[in-house]
Amino acid sequence: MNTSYQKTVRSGHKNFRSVVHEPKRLFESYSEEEVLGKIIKESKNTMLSEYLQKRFQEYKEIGFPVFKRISLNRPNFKAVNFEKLCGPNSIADIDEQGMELIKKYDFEGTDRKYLLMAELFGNCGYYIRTQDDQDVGIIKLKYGDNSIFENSLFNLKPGSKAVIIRQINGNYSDTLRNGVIRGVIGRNSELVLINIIKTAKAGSISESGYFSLNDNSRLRVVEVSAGQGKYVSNYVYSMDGKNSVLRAAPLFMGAGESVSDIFHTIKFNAPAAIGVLEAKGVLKDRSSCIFRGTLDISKGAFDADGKESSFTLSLSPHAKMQTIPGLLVAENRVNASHAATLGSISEEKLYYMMNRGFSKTQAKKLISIGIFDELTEALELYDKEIAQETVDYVYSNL
Amino acid sequence: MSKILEIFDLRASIKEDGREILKGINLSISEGETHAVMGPNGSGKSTLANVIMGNPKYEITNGDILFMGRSIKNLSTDERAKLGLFMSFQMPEEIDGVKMRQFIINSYRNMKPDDEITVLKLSSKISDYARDLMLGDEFLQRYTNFGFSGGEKKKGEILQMGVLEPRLAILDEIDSGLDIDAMRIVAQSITKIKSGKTALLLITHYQRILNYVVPDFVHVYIDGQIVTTDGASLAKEIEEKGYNFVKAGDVHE
Amino acid sequence: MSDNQDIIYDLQKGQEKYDFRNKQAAKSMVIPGLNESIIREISESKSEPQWMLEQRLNAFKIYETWHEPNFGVDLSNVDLSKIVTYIHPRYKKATSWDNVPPEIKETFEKLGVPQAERLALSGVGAQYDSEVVYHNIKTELESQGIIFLDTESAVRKYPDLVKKYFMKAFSPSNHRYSALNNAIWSGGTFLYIPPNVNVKLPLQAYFRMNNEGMGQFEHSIIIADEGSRLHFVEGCSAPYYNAINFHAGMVEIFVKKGARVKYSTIQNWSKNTFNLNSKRAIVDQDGIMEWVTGSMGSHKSMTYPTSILRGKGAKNETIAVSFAGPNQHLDTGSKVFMFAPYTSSTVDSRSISLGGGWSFYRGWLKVDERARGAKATVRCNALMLDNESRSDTIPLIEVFTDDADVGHEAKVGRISDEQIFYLMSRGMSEKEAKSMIVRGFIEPFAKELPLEYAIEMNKLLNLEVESTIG
Repeated sequence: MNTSYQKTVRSGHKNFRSVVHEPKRLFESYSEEEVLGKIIKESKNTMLSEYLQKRFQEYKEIGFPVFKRISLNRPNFKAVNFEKLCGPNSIADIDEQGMELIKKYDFEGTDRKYLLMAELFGNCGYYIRTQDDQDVGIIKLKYGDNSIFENSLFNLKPGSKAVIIRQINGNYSDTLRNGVIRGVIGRNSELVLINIIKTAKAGSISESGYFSLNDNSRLRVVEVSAGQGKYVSNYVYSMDGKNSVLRAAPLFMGAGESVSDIFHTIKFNAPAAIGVLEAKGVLKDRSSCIFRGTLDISKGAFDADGKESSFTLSLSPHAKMQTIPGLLVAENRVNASHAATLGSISEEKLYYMMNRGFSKTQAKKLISIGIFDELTEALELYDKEIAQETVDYVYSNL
Repeated sequence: MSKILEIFDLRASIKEDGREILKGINLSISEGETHAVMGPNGSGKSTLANVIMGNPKYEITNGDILFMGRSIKNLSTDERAKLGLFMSFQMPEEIDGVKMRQFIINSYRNMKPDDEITVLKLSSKISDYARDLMLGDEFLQRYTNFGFSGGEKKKGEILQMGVLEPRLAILDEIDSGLDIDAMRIVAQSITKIKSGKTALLLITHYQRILNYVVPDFVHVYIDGQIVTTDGASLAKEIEEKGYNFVKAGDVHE
Repeated sequence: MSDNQDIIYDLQKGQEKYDFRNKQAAKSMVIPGLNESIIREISESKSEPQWMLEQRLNAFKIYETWHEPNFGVDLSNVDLSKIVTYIHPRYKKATSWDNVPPEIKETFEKLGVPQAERLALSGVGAQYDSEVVYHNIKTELESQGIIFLDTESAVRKYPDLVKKYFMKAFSPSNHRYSALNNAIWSGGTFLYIPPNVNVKLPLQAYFRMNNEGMGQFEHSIIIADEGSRLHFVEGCSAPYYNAINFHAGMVEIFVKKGARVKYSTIQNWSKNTFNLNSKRAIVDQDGIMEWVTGSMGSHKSMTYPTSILRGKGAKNETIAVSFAGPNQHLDTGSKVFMFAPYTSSTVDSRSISLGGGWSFYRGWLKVDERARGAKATVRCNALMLDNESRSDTIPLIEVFTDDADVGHEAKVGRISDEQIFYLMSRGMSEKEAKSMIVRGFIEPFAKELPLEYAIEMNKLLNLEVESTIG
């Protein structure tokens, strides 16, 4: 079994090991071998095909994970149309350089099974690469109704800039929408990644992401996941360069019976990196969300500046909020902290609002809307239409 | 009168980036004397105090410092403190969880290991000094410098100085952040300790404190060097004319 | 007791789902030679009633088939081979002073521990007789109706009372080591405080120290009846040494309506020990439970003092300190479950790591749907004294109601150069400066302890810090 890929969770220190939870696995077959055969036949990219063959060996040996809190739909392999891959910039046209990066940044994702699956059956993925010092402006990635398995790679060359907007809003009620994205942020380059994820009732979405930040690079991730469906995500930000800066702001909104498991990890591997992770969310009805935010600071990453916070509001007595703020530190010359607030509005805010005639419930609702106002502001910078659409969607759910 | 502190052609730089701050300082303080070092803000006056105390942030690149006739430039900070050198910090560090009273008792034992004064007697000595500074017993119960206002921090430093009775006390900007009443009280304490043979080196930007604690010598420090030395009247001149007039002038003997 | 069982059942519900999935692991941690007949012999030698024997046997069955914990320290190196020998009723203590490691002897010397206590703390003492010290206290307590004796004697003298509470905070299927303790427990404290009695003197397990020293599988029960108040102190900061290096003790505490219990532990098991500790308090209406826990010793530890707040207005306060030095992996934390309205909890955890040690805070705060108006805060502070160690904090916070106020914060820091310079300017050497800052860091914990413990602990910390910092 391959254990050389990057694990999300650290499990040792010097000669100490800690016990890490492994989920139970179910071995089920959906004729994946057949489906893969078709893909390879259609593919004109031998490099990619060879790689897929290898990956399949590992995929076969792993069962579908049984998660504690969330049960995802099984992907409907048969229904996926593999003949027409999205283009231009399709991952099907990946070059040698791109392949190197995919091999280099091998990680765990939401689960190794899902990561491999998305790579193997990727029927829509984007390979976006910039030139040195090029500002490519705003790229809106389109996904068809058929886009189930996404394997995307964003390679930002030194000095370049890009804004990438992804909108995932299919139905997926009889399948699992499974995406893997990798971002290589070159020296002095900047990427803004915007994820708008709408989870429909009975739909399941899995998002795995890995980003490597080089010296002086900047990555900003703005994400909103909202709806009544199931959403599991695992993003790892690897601060591999000095003075790299990351700001990630995952926002979530759950309604109906939605269940979300959102896991962001910042790994500080180089000195003087700045990593800020600020999650905010609102839950109503019988929805639940577990937000995990981890700052993982390795020895040698001195002068790291890490801050993680999560703020969750519940608008109903049956919603379930959970959070696991993780702070893992092996370097003592750092500035690192985390904070989590669940359930409440500060006394001062509440008092002020009540003075203006709001009841506690009304105050909460107003503040919930306020959480998404920040998102709107950010979106409006890049695309007013999308901003409006997103906000309408969120409000309708609220 | 014996010499307490002698500084010869002292040059010192910041270890981290090699920037030179002290560019050849000469200074001599005898027993019982009060010296003031005045200079514009940002010129590195505090550096002089820190280098005398052996702050590891700085390294001496030239010259020497003699304390009671003995070179101390290779001694660690605590070794220097134990010889009778005291510095009151401009921004004293907070030591959470350690009560002020306990901290001072500890310091006393470090500085005077042969003194057999009982804890009770020492404790009451501390309380007496505290009272002189208009500080009550609850002040001594608080964690060292933790959550103290600017004025309380300065008083805390003077309290320590009073109890520890050093041979030389370096007061780094002791009057900054003090209101008129506090300054008067602090000045009284300083004067008291002066009469007990402690030599003083006051580092200050403003002349105010020198109205209460009259110096025997005033040195003007600009850009890493002492450009002129005179008696207490020099301080008044500076107050009236600013530091610029000194820059242009000659060095007085 | 049905209320009680409901809560236990609720907690079980989550666990049952994945408890049975991995039975293979059970085989790797089997205690050689431990079987039903040994357990029967143990029970008989203690003249236990039938119900206790049945409990032991039932728990043993569970232990045999249960899986290892799916988190925490790696237990694969534990030496379980001598356990049966030591717990066997016919075993006669054979440890001699010569076998006690030199570092332990040195620490006793430096701490000034009296000779007789040294022997007791290293499991050698046949000479230490705590009876004399204990006797006077005992008489005073008895006059107030307090029952304070070792658990085995309590089982014999007050069987109904014990039966009412034994294994009612924990169930043997909570985790493998609660099952193990239930099966082979020996020794421990049984304490019952009648209603409205305020026990002014902190009671100490030390008072009852007998020929067996500190037991490895102790099972203690404390019942504070309505309106009573108690402070109980377990352990001491001088190192305990015992030839068996595996400990799985259990403490069950019942804080009844309006009662208040403070349970202080300083644990300094010798550095080759594996310490798995289960401590749980069930708190009724307006009851207050205070956990004061200091973990300094052992090679590997897992201990998570737990409070289950099931009565309206029940309160938990935890202050915990852990000190992971060279070759130590301490996985400690706190669990608080809030099941009733207006319950509240504060947790203040401080950890220090140095010399390559690994300090891991693992917390679980659960605010149930029924805990309307609940308030909880958790603060974790880690002090890393060098770059060789690790400090990890992973708390799980669950809030299942919309009417609660829950906050958590954590930060990691070190001793700054400026702080050291300041202290050195007051005559302290660098080592002394660091020791002082470390003592200051854990002061909120130290001040909860009876004075002599605090003094001894400070001495011990000085030794640890100064010997590790080169």
